[in-house]
Amino acid sequence: MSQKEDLSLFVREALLAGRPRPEIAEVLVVAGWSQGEVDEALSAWAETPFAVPVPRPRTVVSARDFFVYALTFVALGIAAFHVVWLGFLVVEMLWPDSDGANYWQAREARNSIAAILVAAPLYAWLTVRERRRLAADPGLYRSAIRKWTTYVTLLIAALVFVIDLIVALASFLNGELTGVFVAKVVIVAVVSGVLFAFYLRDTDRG
Amino acid sequence: MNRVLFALMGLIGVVAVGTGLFVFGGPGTARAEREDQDRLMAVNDLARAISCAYDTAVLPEAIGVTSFSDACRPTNLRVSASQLMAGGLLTYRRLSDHRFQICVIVHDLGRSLNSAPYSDMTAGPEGAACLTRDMQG
Repeated sequence: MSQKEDLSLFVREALLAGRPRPEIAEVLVVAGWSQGEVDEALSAWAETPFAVPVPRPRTVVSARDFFVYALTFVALGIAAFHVVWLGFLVVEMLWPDSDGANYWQAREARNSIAAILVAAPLYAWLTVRERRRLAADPGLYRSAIRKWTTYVTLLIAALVFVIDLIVALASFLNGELTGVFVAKVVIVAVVSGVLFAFYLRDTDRG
Repeated sequence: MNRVLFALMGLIGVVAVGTGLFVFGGPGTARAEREDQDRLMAVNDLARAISCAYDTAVLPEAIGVTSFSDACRPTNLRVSASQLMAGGLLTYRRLSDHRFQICVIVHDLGRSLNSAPYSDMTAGPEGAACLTRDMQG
């Protein structure tokens, strides 16, 4: 049995024995547990009066969640990166003073199209499927892996957006801002901004 | 799930793919590009062979790939220069005793000339990409 399990069992038995929470907290702190560990252990049990301690729902970690959310995360990353990259290539090609594409750019563009055509539907399918499961069982919102991937996605989207603005502003101040550059900055800002807004809504559910 | 933002994400993907295919072309364009690359490589290989064979000699009026010695014969050609010459796609022109030009008809001249390995080529007549070389003489 792990130390956390020992602590949880002790708290449960102390509550079952009718000991008040401050007293349980005090003996645990004296025994060497940190205040944070004690608070966490106590908060695992609801203060609802009942014959036995009532457990609160906990975050869950499952191998299935890891598979689904990691795959969704990677599919989103691939699709987003290639949408931006393809956007860059299209802008370079279509800009009025462009010399036109070369073989390398055309090949890169088709590689990006292939990546989007595979990754984007995969992401959409996984996301819709998972949202249906969450709607059917809101308890699944407690998935720790779901929360982690949501916040990691938010972090990456926010960083990309901020760096994009910094680079744009630096280029402007250095007098290097061109039409092509502005178009690329807008593409990055739109993609990262939409992703950030989409995942920000997810944090409402914890 | 915010359906509007999710739909917007999908729309961005669809627009990206649609624009990409419209601007860069699909499999048919890619096949034509590969053919063009093979033809341009054949031009480069033939130019190297001529430079090797006629380094100090006077250039001939006409040239055939089979006329090169083993030391100067182009080896790993994906498309035989002689096939291209026979099909009228590749032409050799003697400009002076020590200057020649090889031209090849390509599907997309602009894209061919923009591509780095062939950037020393110029636009010739009838959508041809031309390579001009000066010998030491």
